[in-house]
Amino acid sequence: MTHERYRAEDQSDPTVRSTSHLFRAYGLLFASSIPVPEMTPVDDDGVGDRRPDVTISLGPTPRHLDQALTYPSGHEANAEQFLLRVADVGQYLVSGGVDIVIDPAPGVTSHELRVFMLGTCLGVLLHQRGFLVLHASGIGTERGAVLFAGNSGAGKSTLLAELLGRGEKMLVDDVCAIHVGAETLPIVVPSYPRTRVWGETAARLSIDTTGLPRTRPQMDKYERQVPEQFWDREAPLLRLYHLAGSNGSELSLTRLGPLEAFHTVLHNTYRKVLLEGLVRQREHFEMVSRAARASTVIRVIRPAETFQLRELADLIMLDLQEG
Amino acid sequence: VPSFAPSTLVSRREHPLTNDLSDTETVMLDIERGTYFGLQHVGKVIWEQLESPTRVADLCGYLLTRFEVDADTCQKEVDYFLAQLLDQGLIEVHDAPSAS
Repeated sequence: MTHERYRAEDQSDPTVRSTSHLFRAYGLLFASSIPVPEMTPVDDDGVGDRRPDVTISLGPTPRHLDQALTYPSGHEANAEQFLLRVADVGQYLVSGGVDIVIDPAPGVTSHELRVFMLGTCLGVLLHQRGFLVLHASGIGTERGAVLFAGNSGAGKSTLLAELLGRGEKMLVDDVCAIHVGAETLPIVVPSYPRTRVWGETAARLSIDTTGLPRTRPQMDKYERQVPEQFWDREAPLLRLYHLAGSNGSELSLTRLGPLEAFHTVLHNTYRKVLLEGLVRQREHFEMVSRAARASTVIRVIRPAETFQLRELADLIMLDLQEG
Repeated sequence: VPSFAPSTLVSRREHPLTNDLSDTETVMLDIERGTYFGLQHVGKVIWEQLESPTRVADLCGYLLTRFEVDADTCQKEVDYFLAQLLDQGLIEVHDAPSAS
């Protein structure tokens, strides 16, 4: 229904295609009135007759949503829409999995505006489209997708940086979309070739951060484009590693049974708290159950004192060779 | 932990969404409260028995035929498990549990 509405608007405004920047991400075609240099650009010739799946534009957003659940953070969500408020950055309206409208605050930089658009807003849009959305990073391999989930600061991006240094190809960093069909293995869709790296990790891995934008102004975390090391194809989920904690005496991997796998997928769902407002809990529960039955989920425990990044990467590459 | 009288009738209070993950593991979502539950092994068997209202004595009797456990231990485990289910609003009891 929402698709139909979008098409109607599109046809009433024939200039929309020519004034838009076109990008590809998550297997979707984006038409945007603002540049999104993080995503993979698509030229008009490469589009053919395909209509954009998602539009991004600047414009006014409503003060409130009808029949919405309001979160303590001030965000509002209902079954169709999501309204994100970020002080000094702007307001964002995400509708029906097809449309993002951004109302910028005075003085905000285009980069900062995109941080929330590419984060929470895209995550919500992917929820609205019916993907299982995880807070995870990962690589693509010939055998399938290898994902790393965990809380912020657990080491997802750092492990990804180490693996990129070894020549692996990134599939996703941060907002991970998975198609969970009834009959097939979960399929991870490629995001876009932007990864993040902490200053300390960059120094250790000899990554030059000169001129790279910071994720947030005060943060020692940098945004890096790696188009030459991007896995741009869908990939069946081969492994989900959960970077669980740093309280072990040594590095260890534990293969989880379906019930623990369920809780791992559940708790690493991107912005899980929003599912209630988005009225997606039922579908999400089904997808998490299916993913838990069909996936190999592994808990990673590491020592508190040291990250042991190289040892962790070695252990994972070894584990991947074993069936 | 409250103790349930053998004659207490126990039944599922509502019908949360339920998915079997394996022969021995089940997950549930209570959508109104937004809470998730996992049941395994004996817990899953007990939940299946509660599909229709069941007396605690009958539940324990059934479990004794299924698992190698003595009657005392079984009663204690069942008390503990039912108390959790009651606490989470997943079951209701049709006569008051006796205080012990």
